[in-house]
Amino acid sequence: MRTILQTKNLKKVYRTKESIFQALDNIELTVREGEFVGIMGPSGSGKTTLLHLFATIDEPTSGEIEIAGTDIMQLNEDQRSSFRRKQLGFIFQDYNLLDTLTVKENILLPLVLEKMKVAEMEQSVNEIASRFGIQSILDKYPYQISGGQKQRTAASRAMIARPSLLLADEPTGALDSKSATDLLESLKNVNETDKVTILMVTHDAFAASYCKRVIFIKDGKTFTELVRGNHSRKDFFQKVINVLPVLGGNIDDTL
Amino acid sequence: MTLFDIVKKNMKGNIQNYLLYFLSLIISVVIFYTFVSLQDTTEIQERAESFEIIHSIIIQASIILVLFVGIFIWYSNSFFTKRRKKEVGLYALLGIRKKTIGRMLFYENLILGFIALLIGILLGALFSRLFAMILLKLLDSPMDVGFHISVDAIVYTSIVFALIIILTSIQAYRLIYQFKLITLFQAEKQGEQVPKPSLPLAILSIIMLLGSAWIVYEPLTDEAMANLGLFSLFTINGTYLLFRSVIVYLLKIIQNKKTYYYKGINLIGTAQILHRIKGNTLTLTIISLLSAAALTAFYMGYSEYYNIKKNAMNHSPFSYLHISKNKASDQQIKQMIQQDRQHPTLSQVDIPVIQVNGNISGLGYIPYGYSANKTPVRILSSHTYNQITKALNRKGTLHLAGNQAAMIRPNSDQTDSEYVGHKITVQGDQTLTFVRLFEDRVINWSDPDFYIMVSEERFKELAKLTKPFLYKAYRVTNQENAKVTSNQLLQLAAKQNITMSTFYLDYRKNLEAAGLDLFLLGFLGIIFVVATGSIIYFKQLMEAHLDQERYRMIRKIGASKKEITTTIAKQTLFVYLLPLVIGILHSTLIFTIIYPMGEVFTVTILVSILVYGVIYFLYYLLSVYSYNKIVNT
Repeated sequence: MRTILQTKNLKKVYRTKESIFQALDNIELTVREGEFVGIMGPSGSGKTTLLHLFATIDEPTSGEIEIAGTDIMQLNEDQRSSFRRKQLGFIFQDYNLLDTLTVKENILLPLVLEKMKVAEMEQSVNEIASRFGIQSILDKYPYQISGGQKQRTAASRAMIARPSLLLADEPTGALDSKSATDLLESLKNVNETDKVTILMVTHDAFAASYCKRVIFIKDGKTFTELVRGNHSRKDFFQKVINVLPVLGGNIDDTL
Repeated sequence: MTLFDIVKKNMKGNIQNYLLYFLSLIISVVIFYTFVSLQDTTEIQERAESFEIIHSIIIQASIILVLFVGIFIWYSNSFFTKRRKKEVGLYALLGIRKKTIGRMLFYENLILGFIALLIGILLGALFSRLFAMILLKLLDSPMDVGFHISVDAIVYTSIVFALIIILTSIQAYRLIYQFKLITLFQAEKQGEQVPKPSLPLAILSIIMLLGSAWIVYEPLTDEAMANLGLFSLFTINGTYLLFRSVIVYLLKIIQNKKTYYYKGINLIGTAQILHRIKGNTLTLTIISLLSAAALTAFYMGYSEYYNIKKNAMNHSPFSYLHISKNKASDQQIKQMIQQDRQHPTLSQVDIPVIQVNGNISGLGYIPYGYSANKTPVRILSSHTYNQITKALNRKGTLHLAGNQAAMIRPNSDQTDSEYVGHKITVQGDQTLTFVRLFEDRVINWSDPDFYIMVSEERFKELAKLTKPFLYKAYRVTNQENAKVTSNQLLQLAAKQNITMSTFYLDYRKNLEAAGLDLFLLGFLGIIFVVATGSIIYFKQLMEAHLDQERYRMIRKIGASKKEITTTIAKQTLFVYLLPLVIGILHSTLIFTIIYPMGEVFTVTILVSILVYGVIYFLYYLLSVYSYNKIVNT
């Protein structure tokens, strides 16, 4: 299988007048097509910074990032826009939906940018909406639906342009356990059937247990890695839980 | 569906935000158009006796207006664009090029601006008629003004606003380049830091503000400009520090008064104000100072208008006054005055006046442009003076003997001590000693306005050497509307080369100047009020959007809707009332510099504060309503 994401010697240093803070130190990471990778770490470990680098909205201090065969460091501003549009999908903790557009309109926003034909758009929206079980609310506005539905709308929007890599930043952070389970099941489903590659940052062991592989980072460095293999989700959850005390920090706060 | 559709849809959805910006644009255009079109209104051109002055004043005022409107639009535009940061960031994240987003915002602003310009001009054409009628009413010649469209006004308004719109569109274009995409991912910075109250700064502020008041009552120097400069320096810095330190200090004291602070949800409102005040210091300072400026404008315009009649009476004590040329023309004038049945003659006086050159080096005052040893002095007898006071219904009689003389003060700021006891000489060797100084004129002002009274005997002696000339003075009823007779007399006088002045003409000139000033100052004042009110309103809306989450949380933990409404009402009152109160205090001080205390003073201030207060109160209600709607539903 082809490599979707590869980093080499990735470093990110924040400098202020008083201090230098090394957010990421020598991160080496490879994600292959069709993988569902979780990144876990305590607060301040650098996991969100890492996601921002992949999302091309922040730049590393040094090192290389290659996504879907493109060295994203070599892209200029406009090429980056186009790259984000074609290769990346995003899900955020706080949804980032436009309140003035309906669920349907929010979802097809990326297609509008691609100037797709209306009929194709309609078909894509219906397809993806059924995947995430939100056909019935397509004509509602974001303020009329629940948090779980909002996040599934956001996920549909992230998926609709068929990106090479789906980046999710704490997607279950604001959801109750039922909504979180629904969302994670949907993500697992698109990952398995459509072979969508997903990279998810989380500090929720339950969310992480849906991944095929979980990478733990601590103080900006890769700490360890767990592979689910043939284990059941429950077993994998237990394995993740076992790592957490070693990892330290306040990661188990949310359990 | 295209990107354009999305933008359009988004505009519709955000109509509340757009509407605010749109309305402020339209109002600005209407005001400007109206203003410029006034000078192009034929009715005003015909009615005004001195149109040239009106024309130049309107042009000057419109320059101030352009600056002000420009700043106001810029301000509301930046509020408006900031509100859309999230939306714009999302577009960028979904992969629209920065240039495309920039263009989108540019055209959006441009289209919005030009639609506002069009609507503004249409409304302006309607309103300018109304404003022209208000102005004519103030000029005391009310009449119906026909509907007409001023091409000049359209051209000027279009040029000025096209420029402003293009500038703000460029600002909108630059928005996307101004912030890094990463900021979208990071949580919105919750509130601002609570400023540390500094006791020394708080004391400094109070000292500066008290100092500014002290300068008014005890001027440091004789230079008015220097005093005004010092006053401004103290006021501006003092006001800034007031918000920066004193208010923070007071709020901290409230926080420490636990019986109040822990009552109801007072702590939420107080904490809220405290958190926001750092970011609001500059705005509140500017608004306080602008309010002061606006109120001062109201005061000045109103008190001038209020004083017109008094000023005119002082300037022209008689309804008609002319220098006698010959019996025939005197008779002709007298007939003309008596024929006017609407304005019957109340009294008529003949005033013989001797004009000689005098040596006034014994006085501290020498009229501008004259030399001390050769100043024209006009002399009346005390007997004539008494006749005049009787004719004018004034009280008191004058008795003079020997060398004694009395003086009518040429300048309103002069006092007895500058004249009484001083001597002057006339006709070479006649020495006169002043014993009294009168305030009110008896004959119209005329350069160098040096009128003195001497005893009957002394007057006769002087008349032997210098032949007196004769003023004929008339007083009629309702002199302020004796237009027809006044014009007839002035025409006749011009034809026969007679020196003639009428109360009506003076009064009209004053009325026009004051009416126009009141109109312009009132107009500018109201624009200031509306603009400052809008700026506070915008700020409140911005804060409401930022605080949505916080209030939702507060409601979740059990605060009732009513309690939240109360705390919102209190917070909002704070941001409206504080600048208003400070503005009133400042402007009252400024007004005291310009006009000494008096009856006008109180009336003017009360009326101006009432107008200002009512407008602010409406804004206040609107703010509470909107804020409530955003966070409490």
